[in-house]
Amino acid sequence: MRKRTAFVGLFMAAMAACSQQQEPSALDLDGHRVTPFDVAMPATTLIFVRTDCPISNRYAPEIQRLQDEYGPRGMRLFLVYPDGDETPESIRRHATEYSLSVESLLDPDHELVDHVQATVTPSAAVIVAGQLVYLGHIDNRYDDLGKARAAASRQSLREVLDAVAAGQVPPLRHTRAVGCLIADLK
Amino acid sequence: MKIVLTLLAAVFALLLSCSPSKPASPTYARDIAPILHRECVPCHRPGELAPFPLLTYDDARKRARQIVQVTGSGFMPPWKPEPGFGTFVGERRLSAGDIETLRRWAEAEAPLGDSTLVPEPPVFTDGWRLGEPDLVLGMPESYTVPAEGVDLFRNFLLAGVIDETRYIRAFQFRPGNPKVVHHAVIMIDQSGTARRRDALDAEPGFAGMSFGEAREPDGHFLGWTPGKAPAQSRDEMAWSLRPGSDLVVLLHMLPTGKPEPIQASLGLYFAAGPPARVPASIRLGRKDIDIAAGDDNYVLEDRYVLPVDVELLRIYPHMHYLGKSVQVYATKPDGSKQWLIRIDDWDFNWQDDYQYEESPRLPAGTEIYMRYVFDNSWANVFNPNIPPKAVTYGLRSADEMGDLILQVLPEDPKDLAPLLQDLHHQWLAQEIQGHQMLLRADPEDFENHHTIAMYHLQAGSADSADVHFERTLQLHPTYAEAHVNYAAALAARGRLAAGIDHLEQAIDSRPGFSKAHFNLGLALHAAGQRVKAGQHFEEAARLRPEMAAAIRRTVAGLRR
Repeated sequence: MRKRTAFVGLFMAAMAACSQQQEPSALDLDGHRVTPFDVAMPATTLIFVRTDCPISNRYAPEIQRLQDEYGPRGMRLFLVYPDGDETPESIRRHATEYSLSVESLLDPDHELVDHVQATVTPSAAVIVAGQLVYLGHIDNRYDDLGKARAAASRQSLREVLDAVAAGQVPPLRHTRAVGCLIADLK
Repeated sequence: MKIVLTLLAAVFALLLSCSPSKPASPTYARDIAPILHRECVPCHRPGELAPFPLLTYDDARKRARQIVQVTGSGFMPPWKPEPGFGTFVGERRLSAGDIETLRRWAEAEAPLGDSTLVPEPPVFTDGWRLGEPDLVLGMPESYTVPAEGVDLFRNFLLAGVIDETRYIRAFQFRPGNPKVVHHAVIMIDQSGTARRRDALDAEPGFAGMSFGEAREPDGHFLGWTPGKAPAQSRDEMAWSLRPGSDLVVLLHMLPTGKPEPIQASLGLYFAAGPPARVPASIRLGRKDIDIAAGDDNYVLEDRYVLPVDVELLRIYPHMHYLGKSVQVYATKPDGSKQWLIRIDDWDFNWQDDYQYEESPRLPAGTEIYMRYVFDNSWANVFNPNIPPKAVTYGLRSADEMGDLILQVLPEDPKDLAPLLQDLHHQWLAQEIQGHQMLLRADPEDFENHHTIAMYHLQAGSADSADVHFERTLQLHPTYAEAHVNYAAALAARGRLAAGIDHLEQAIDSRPGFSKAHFNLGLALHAAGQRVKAGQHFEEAARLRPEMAAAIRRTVAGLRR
């Protein structure tokens, strides 16, 4: 009995170690499995979007600006599409339509979604040195569905990226993102 | 112990199986598709404004929780009037039962059910839904809505030839790109203003929420919102479109994240002849809106007492982004109260004009009362000013309006003329109010004093007109037009000498002012100074040779 318990314990420990090593991954548009958390980079930002979410689409110009401004400063930005029905072709088409040139990932099994616990599109997750430091809206323009301000008064994602660019590791912050529910896609 | 537990479990299982069975979860096939097809699919299908379709099981399954969220909050379907305060054509409302069914379906992980039971989605007629129009007018070139930014308000002239007066029994507006057009209002311009403004703007159309000279035709209101069926007048109530008129469409457009080209068109269906019945537009509201920054409960009230018996056909409440709630009711001469519309959560983006399912009959003496509330605080997400600032009446989207338009049909067609007369007086009062408001901002605006004087004159309040004429001329003593108008007002009340004095001042200010000479001629003639009068008539004719013949005919008439 004692032997068996010890064996089970060992097995569990091995499982845990294994799962710790197993970083969440997603597929790039060429079908390669990618683990987007590059600890060598100052920060990795995941922006969850879908091709048919009007709110994430309205953010396309701002998302591209984030890429253009923070990419050269060593920040890595990924668009993550959690809809299992999307294909590399549909995502490429969407990127062309909305003038987006940002690395895009397919997350059909919601590994990235679950890892950062994203709930809606669009929402942004910022990971610094393997640690989540931000999860929430890009900015606070939307107060609710159908309720958008004329302009955002808080640029929450930029605030975090600016802090990282200044060499800080900001404490974890959550903001309320408004958009299309990711849970429906599973 | 183990036995006891097993027994307990068995008892529970038994109890559960005996209790009245829980209703089976709704399925897409049997319960959900009929709701979505009836209530959502008119807009949630390809080619319509809604951002995604809800035609198939997969469409619905991938939005199941979202559907529960938006139907539960009342965000969808978008329909602002409160139930029980007027019943309107084309109401988009889900019953509490439907909302509950959707919720239970999503909770049960959105089951399909028996796929053979899935009903066919409804078939929609794309294109012209009432058949080929008699005339199609369209934007001559497309306009591109930029990828991002605030809502856009732009007017476009619709090109097309109206060769003779036509009577329009129905129209269909086609936005060209429904993804971006949230609302359209079609107006008629006979002044040429729209053409001039269009020519001054480098891009197609011209910016702005409205422009003063555009009119709604004959008491009709030509509006379009997504999902609305083509508008048909009652057979006897067509509206007229005359040669030389420009149709102008004001589009409220929302950027979508990518550049969106748009080219709208309008299909018109002709009636055989002129309308047997002509409705009238009653406009309530105030132009002296002045909302302090931070005021979250600014109340605007107005009233109008009907001078004749009418049937109320349509109602259109209008505010901009600071609007919070709408209450309109009628108090009949017998004291009974009838709600006409109530909106507790005003949303500019979903404004509409509403046609009554059953037209309220309102007898003469009925008072129509409107009460609008505005929120100019931070709490109002739609506040266009960050931080909030004082807002007054105006046509730009950052200004405010508090209008209520009612389309009424006099029960007796003979009552149309007195109704229009009464409405003209009410309109003058509103205009005076609005211009008085502008005076508060600039008390020395002599043009404005002059305009107010002219409105008072039309309204028959000569004494009030005098005050503003005096102030106009005090601020601008050589304002020849004002001297001439004031003189006419004085002469009409027999104050000839004072009138002559002002006409002479007008000529001193502008010696080449033909109208001043002509009017002075008339005044001098009335005062018995025939020779001097003759000299001024001659001068008027000399200054405007094209009018000489008409002037001489008038003079000959006077002499007879």
